[in-house]
Amino acid sequence: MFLGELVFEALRNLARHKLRSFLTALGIIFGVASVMSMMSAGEGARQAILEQINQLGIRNIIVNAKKPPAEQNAEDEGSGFQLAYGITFKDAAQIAETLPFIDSVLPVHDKDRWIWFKSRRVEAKVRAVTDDYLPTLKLFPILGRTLTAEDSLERRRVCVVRRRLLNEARYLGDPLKLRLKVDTDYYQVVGVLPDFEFQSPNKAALGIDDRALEVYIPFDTGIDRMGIETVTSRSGSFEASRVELHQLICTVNTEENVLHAARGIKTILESFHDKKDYEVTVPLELLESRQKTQKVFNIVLPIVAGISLLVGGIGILNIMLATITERTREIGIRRALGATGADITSQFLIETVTLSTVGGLLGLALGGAGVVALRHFTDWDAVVTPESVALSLGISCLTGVAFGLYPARRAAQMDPIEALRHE
Amino acid sequence: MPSPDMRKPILELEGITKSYGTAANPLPVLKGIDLMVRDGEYCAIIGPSGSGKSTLLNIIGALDRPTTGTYRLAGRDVSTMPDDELSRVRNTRIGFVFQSFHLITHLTVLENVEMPLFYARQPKAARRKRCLDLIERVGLGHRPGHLPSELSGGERQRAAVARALAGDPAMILADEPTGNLDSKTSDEIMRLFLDLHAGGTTIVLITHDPEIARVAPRRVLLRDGLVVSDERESTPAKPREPRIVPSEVADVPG
Ligand SMILES: Nc1ncnc2c1ncn2[C@@H]1O[C@H](COP(=O)(O)OP(=O)(O)OP(=O)(O)O)[C@@H](O)[C@H]1O
Ligand SMILES: [Mg+2]
Repeated sequence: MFLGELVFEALRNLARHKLRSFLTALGIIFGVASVMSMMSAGEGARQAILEQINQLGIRNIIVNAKKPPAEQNAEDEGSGFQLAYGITFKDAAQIAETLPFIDSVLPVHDKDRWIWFKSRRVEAKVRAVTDDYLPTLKLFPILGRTLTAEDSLERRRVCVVRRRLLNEARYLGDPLKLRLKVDTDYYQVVGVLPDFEFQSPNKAALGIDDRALEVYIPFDTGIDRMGIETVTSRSGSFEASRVELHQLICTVNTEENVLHAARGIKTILESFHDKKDYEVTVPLELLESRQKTQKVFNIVLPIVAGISLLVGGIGILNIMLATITERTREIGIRRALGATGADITSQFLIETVTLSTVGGLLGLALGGAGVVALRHFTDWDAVVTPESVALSLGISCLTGVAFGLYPARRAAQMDPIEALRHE
Repeated sequence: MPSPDMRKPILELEGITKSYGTAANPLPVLKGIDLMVRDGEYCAIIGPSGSGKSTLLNIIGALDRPTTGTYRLAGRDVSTMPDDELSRVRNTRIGFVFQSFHLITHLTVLENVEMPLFYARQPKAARRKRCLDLIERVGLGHRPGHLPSELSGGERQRAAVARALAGDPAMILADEPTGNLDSKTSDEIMRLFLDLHAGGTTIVLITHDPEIARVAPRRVLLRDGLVVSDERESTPAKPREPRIVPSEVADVPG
């Protein structure tokens, strides 16, 4: 009851000098806003990375074939030249057999093809994958079924497609009744995958091309029907390439072994490849680098918070010292009417804390606006967490206490009769 | 029913001096005051301007400390009371009307009058009711929500009187409570004091007004920091019961 009245009284006193209170609180306002938006941005980045790791699979190591840049020159020399690069079956076998921690190695072979829907055609990426591939990457059909081991064993001509592919081809009928024509073969659609929104770094790691639409076919069917050589004609000249495998997804048995396994995979690939025609992505490493930035963050954030506390606090200290001088007579009157030193201390302390907390709330509003702006104008998904709100408010409260204590004590220690006589 | 002379002393001043200025160049204002006021007495302090009346009243009100001498309030030596106890005594036992009113400028009349009860931790509703009544009684019933700056001098004085009465103190110390009032309102305030006196409240007031001094059963004349005369009417205005047992002051409920 008593406290409530003091807070009300404090708010009224602050409202009597709106501009002065506002200017005093500016330090706190900006401090809190910066602490909160920093924490929100950090949290956004953290969640993005975690989601990314989750999508890629924390126990997975992804190896992608990469066209070596040095070969670009050789390519022009003769039209009969066949460019061979990328991951080989031998690599896959070596990794699967020699590294003890590896549970499975999933090979992927890609072909860029025109897909025919009756008379309409759509360019798509046909990916020959084993039956484990889709579940490993948490891709589950929203319609129909996924690919099975039998599909591959019996070289069935079936496929699983992205929903976007159907949209792109403006196909409105039952997808499971659709047969797609790739080259000269027809493939029965058995499942439809959701349009998974991958984060951009994941797309690169998984070899997903934004423009291309994926069609997944059984691995053996793909190798049988389309081979591993690709001939494309580009501006009149033919370009032949030979890529055995475009991607390997290696799953490690436990999380602790991921980094060992990654080292092993890199060693094997280094010994088999003269050129760097592959790229290894370890999702767990993203986590490690994330932890490194977190460490930097953990140092920078308290410094920013500390500086804002100091700057905001000194402003408050200054104005409160001026206030108690200005209100000396009031203090004398209150003392004469029976206020104890503790009453005076709490009155001015509450006034300071109210000022800093109101500043903190305004700072939160400003920080919140900053977060909204960040989300709107950048691709940074800043997230406001309850912790950041609590911490910011805590800091502003604490600033009020820390810097309000001295002026409040000084007010309480005034001699009542001297204070009364003060003009 | 005990006669006034039989009552316990509530104020005992022995050899009180007060000097302003520096130790090297002291300016003595009170030069050895001996004064004893019994519980329930009505006492007027008169004397020329600058004779030290306000200084004396501040000491009696436990606001100021004497330079030398002892002052016992209801038997307790005030110089030994800790600060918090002094606050409690001022809050619950003494109602002070200051010569220059000392209203808080940014609070309304009602809020000013409520102040002693606020520090006595009285609940808001009860406080409000009592204070509105008091404001009515001093004739400010039409102005409870006004700021002191919106009042006339006399209205401010009446607000100050109402505030002194708010805590229902056993002792009222009033420094020229009618200085700014016309004779009609002045009479009303004096009647209020007499009513309180009849109810057992001790009243010490400073006045320049011979009319008011004449009403008082006891008159103390101060000149140049010394009590030069102390006359008492043989018959007190009305017999009455004492309001406090003196030892109560020492252990005021907190
Ligand atoms: N704080 C102070 N510092 C120095 N001198 C003071 C102080 N307060 C009062 N005095 C001096 O003490 C003397 C007595 O002052 P006091 O206020 O007690 O007079 P008073 O009897 O109440 O006069 P009045 O009737 O005009 O109110 C005066 O001469 C005054 O100048
Ligand atoms: Mg005076």
